[in-house]
Parts: sequence; C-alpha cells; structure tokens
Amino acid sequence: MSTVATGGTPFWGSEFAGKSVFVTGAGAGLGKAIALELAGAGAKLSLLDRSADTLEKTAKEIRGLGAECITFTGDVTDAATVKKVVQQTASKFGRLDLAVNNAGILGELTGVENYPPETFRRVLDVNVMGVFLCLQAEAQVMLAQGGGAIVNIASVAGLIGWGTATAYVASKHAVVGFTKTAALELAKRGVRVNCVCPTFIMTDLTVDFLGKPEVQSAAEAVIPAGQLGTPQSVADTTLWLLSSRASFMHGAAVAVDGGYTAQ
Amino acid sequence: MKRLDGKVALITGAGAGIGRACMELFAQEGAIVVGASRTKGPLDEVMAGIEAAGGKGMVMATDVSKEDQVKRLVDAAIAKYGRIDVLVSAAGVGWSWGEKSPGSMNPTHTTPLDKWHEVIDINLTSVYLLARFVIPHMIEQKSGSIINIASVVGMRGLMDSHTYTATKGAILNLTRSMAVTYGRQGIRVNSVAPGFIATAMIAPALPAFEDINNPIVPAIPRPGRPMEIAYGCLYLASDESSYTSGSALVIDGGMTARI
Repeated sequence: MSTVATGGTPFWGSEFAGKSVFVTGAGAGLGKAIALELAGAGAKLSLLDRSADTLEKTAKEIRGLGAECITFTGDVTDAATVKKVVQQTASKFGRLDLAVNNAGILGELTGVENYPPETFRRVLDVNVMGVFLCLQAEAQVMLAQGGGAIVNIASVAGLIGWGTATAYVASKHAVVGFTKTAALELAKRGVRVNCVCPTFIMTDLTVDFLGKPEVQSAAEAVIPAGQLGTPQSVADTTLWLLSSRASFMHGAAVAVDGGYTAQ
Repeated sequence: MKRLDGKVALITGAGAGIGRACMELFAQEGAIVVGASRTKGPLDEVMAGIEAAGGKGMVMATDVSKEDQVKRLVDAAIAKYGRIDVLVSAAGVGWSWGEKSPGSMNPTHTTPLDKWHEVIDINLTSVYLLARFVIPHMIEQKSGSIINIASVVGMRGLMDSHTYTATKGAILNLTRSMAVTYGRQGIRVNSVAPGFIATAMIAPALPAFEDINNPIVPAIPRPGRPMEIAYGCLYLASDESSYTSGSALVIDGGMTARI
C-alpha cells in the first residue's frame, strides 16, 4: 500500500531549485518520499541512513529525476558522524539551506509494566538524541550562513498517548517540545524550525503491524478520513513548511492525520 | 501549474486584511473567487484588481451574521458557478471594533449582553451559517475544503476582549467536530490560528511591537503579513493538504511556542 512520492510536484516553480537539503532516514518510508519530492522540485540532496543498500536505491531514483545527490551511511546517534556529515554536505554544496530530521524507530509495542528498559533507551537515543544532534549540527551551519529552515518529523504520538507505545510516545512528545524551543531560540537569527505530526502511514517502519488486515481496518475505522495516510501527503506538508511560504511559522506542529487528533 | 485551477472559492471578510489576501492569492492560483463582506466599496476594489490581473469571480455585499443573507450568498455562488470547492471564513471583528462598538472588546464583567451577542454573531455564528449552507453542496460533490480563521487567542487567555477569545476558541472546536463528522464524505475542515497580523483589526496594538519585551511580541519581533496567513490558507485549500483535517494551523511567528 505504501505509495512513495514520484517526485516533482508541479506547483513549486523555482522555490526549491538549487537549494541544498539534508534528509535523515532517507533510505525508505517518509524520508525517501520527502527526498524524492524535493528532488523533483529541483533541490540538491544529501542523505543519511544506517543502511547503505536502501540509501543507494533512493539515490538512484533521485539521480534518475535529474537531481544531484550525495549519500552518507551512518547513525544519527553518533555525534561525531552527524557533525562531519552535515559539514561535508555544506562544503560540497556550498551551503545548507534546508534540513529534514526524519530518522526514527518505533521500538516495541508492549505494556509499560513489561517494556524493556534497553529498548526504551534506544528509542530515546535515536528519536530524541538523534534529532537533537542533527539539528545542532544543522543550526551551526545555518546560523553561520545567515538562515535556513528545518522540519522535524514527529508524530501524532507527540501530541497524544498511545497504549503499548510507551517509548515512542515519550520520544515524539520530546521532539515536539524540542522543536518549539529550537524555534524560539533561532527565529530572530533567520532559522525556522517546525514539525510534522503524521499518523498511521504505511511505510517500512509501520508495515509490520499496519500490514495486518485486521489492524489496518481497525485503524481506518478510527480515522475520520476513513483511510490511512500516504508518504506523499507527509512529503507535501513538509515541503510547505520548508518553503518561504511558511515564513511566519515558527515552532508549529502540523498534524497530517486525517482528523485523528481532532476527536 | 496552479494549485486551484478550476476550483471555486468562497471567501468572507474579502474586502480587507486576511480575506482580501486570500482573494488575491487564490485568484492568482487559478481559482474562481466569490468574495463577501459587509460593504460593497472595498469588495469592488478587490475584484477590479483581481480582474486586471487576469483573475475571475464575483463579489456580493453580505452580512454573514444573518441567515437569509448567507443563504442568498451561497445560492448566488452555486447559481453562477455550480459548485463551491473551498470556503474561507475570514470575516470577524476584533480589537479595532472596540472603538466602533464600545464595550465589545471588554473583559467579562464589563461586557454588556448586547455586545456579547454582537461579537458572537459576527465572529462565530457566521462560521456556522456559512458551513451549514455550503456543506450540503460539498457532500454532493463528495469533496471540499473548509478553512475557518480562528486565532492563537482562541487557545490562550487574554486580559480583555473576552468575547473575542471565546468566539475564536469555539471556532477551533467547531472545526474539529465538523472534521470528524464529514471526513468520510471527502470534506476536510481546518482552522488557521494567526498571531498578530498587520491589518486594521490590530492597529491599536501595533505600538506594542516597539518594545520587544512586551509579551505580545513573538519570537519573530514583527506582526505577520496578511499574505503569510493567505499562504497557510492556500496549503489547506490545495490537494497538498489532502490528509490534513481537524487541525489548527498556527501561523504566529512563534508566539505560542512558549507560555
């Protein structure tokens, strides 16, 4: 069911043409959809992911659209790697205009009384520490160059609770709060920070549980839109927040959830 | 390519400020625009500018707090264009209304009952009336996007303009109820929550921006531009927000990112 963006929404004109963008977790799922959409709009892409194979597949599709793309294999939880990768991106492309901090893991779906502490720690490390380390490195470059825009991929789990997803919910709430603080600090200095809160979207991260028919229909039954979201809709919203059209948006959390959190 | 090619957009508060910015932007993006507000003069001016730039549409002087006038407006749009794809409810009165209608922007214990009803009618009843008459058409079309202009002060308390804050909070939640109800019929309903935007409504408050320590001054120390709100409305009107419903799009320069 996962439909990845084919790249190249026709609406953006020259908005993203020649802009350099850094995307984490770009090998698959939402990160891949966002990277493809930006590539289709004329941006230059720098991608970070743990898996070299999936990364190369995404890069190939991006280059197939005629866009420039560099890739880095590494883990967002490694401060030294993140800093090096962001700086190499800025040197290669001349500047870093935009960034999407998307890399994240789900962890387990287990009751709080049994949730393994090591898994909880790992979820926090990737989802919170990883976003912080990436944003810090991006902000250093963007502040020095006079501006930029960053979008963090949070989740509706950053706005509400979700039974058995203890670590994921805690981590995504942290991302939303972190987004607001970063926005407050960086706004006057030309860097805009916002986040997107998607709900049940079929991706490689979610296919293990959303892929089960009874889970999918249960999810669809509780979403006012009556269907799961697609990576395309998250990509479209992310591009809006990265664009100059969102010039007065700072610290916003935009839900892409078919009305789920309106209930 | 234009985002709203072939779409019909009904926009209230169209003579000035945010509503006017929406008229101009949506027409640029290919929509047929139907503009309404209380007085004809500013509407004609907006439409003349739009037509000069190659855009299309119509305007109708309408008091959107009155049921018969809202019905007449919607019927006229349908009669001429056959459909309404986007509804932007941007009509409303705020701080500057306190000068025209003394007592209307007061705190609770000094707000006369007739002023309470007046502000409720203009700001909130209008949102309900427009949605009430437009939704049946969107149900038949199996598609539509409704955008209600609320405010960040619909999410926070203020020390005056209590009625105004009540109407904006109500708009945020009415939006959610509409979103959860009409989602499966292809209708999306969202709010925009602007911060301080440089329009006539907040002219009395503008001097506060000279002191960046004043709490109303956001992280970006300037009022927003009406077009910055119109762009948010454009996102919500377009297919790029196809999975966004029941949300409040906060466009406030970071004002509510903190306490």
